[in-house]
Amino acid sequence: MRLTIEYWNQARSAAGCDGEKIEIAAGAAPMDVVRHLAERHGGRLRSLLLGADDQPRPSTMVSINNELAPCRVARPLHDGDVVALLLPIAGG
Amino acid sequence: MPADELPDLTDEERATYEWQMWVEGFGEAGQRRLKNASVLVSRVGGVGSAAAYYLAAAGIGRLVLAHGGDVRPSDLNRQLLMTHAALGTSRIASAEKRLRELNPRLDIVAVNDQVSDANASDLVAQCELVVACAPRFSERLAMNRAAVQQKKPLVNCAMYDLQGELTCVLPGRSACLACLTPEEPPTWKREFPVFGAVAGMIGAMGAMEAIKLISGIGEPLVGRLLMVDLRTMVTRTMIIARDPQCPVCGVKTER
Repeated sequence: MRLTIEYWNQARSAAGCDGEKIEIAAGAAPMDVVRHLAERHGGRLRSLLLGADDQPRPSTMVSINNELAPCRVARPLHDGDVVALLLPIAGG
Repeated sequence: MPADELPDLTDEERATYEWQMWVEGFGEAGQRRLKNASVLVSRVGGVGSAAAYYLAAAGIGRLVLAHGGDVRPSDLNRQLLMTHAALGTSRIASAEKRLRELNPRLDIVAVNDQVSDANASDLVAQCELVVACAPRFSERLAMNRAAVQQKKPLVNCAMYDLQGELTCVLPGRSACLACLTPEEPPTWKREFPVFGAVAGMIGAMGAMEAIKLISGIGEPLVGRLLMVDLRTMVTRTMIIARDPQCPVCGVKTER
């Protein structure tokens, strides 16, 4: 299935782009998308998205069509979904 | 509080707040609610300076402000309650002085410390609403825990680079901050890139959310996250679901 990815905050600067379109296997979950993007980009985005155990950090947030939850929450993805990746920020 | 028990406005207050009392749905009743209100703002750095300043300008009766440390040069690109003359001196003293210059009627409780689990309950107990503007998750999560436990609304305002985000927590009704970020994330660094104008934007919006929650006007961002990107002028509003397993506001904690 094709997904439109949007990057926000630190994820954007690490990815080097505002967003992109990706192809991923049908049935993929948000954690799979995070892992896919981490491996696709490598470098700083990978270190932000994956922990020392190479698993997606539970603090990464994923919005599917503007509904936001931590990436560990299993939710269905469908062809054409807009998926935004956000890291927690606390700038004050 | 019933409307007839709210404090009356003085002639000076009517003159000062005249233009906002013309706002549809706000009026004198809304102004009296603001006068009766007490709000915790922490910290009063970039975002918090703007939030506290606009709350003072709007006529909030009482501000509880918590921020430790002394003014540093790097504060001055965004912390508008700090001044060049105050370099090396107490941040909270500078904030209090600047706010009193704008609104001498304001009751200010100035706390020369950051919020932590040691003082959060006491600070939140002194107010009816919290505006969270601290640069560390430990402080925001401490305010969140106290606000949820005391059933008080919390406006969360944050920024990074040219982006800001804003949400309102209504304990028992909406997600709380821990629903999304239950513990300190390893990816967040205390020092981060930002312009002062971003702080001003998010702080002002946070103040307006607080005013809306207190006065009952408009639609606060309860259960929604507003993201604003000043680099591209793109905004997004996302819905945040409550986490029933949340360690702070989840089903088990309500029993």
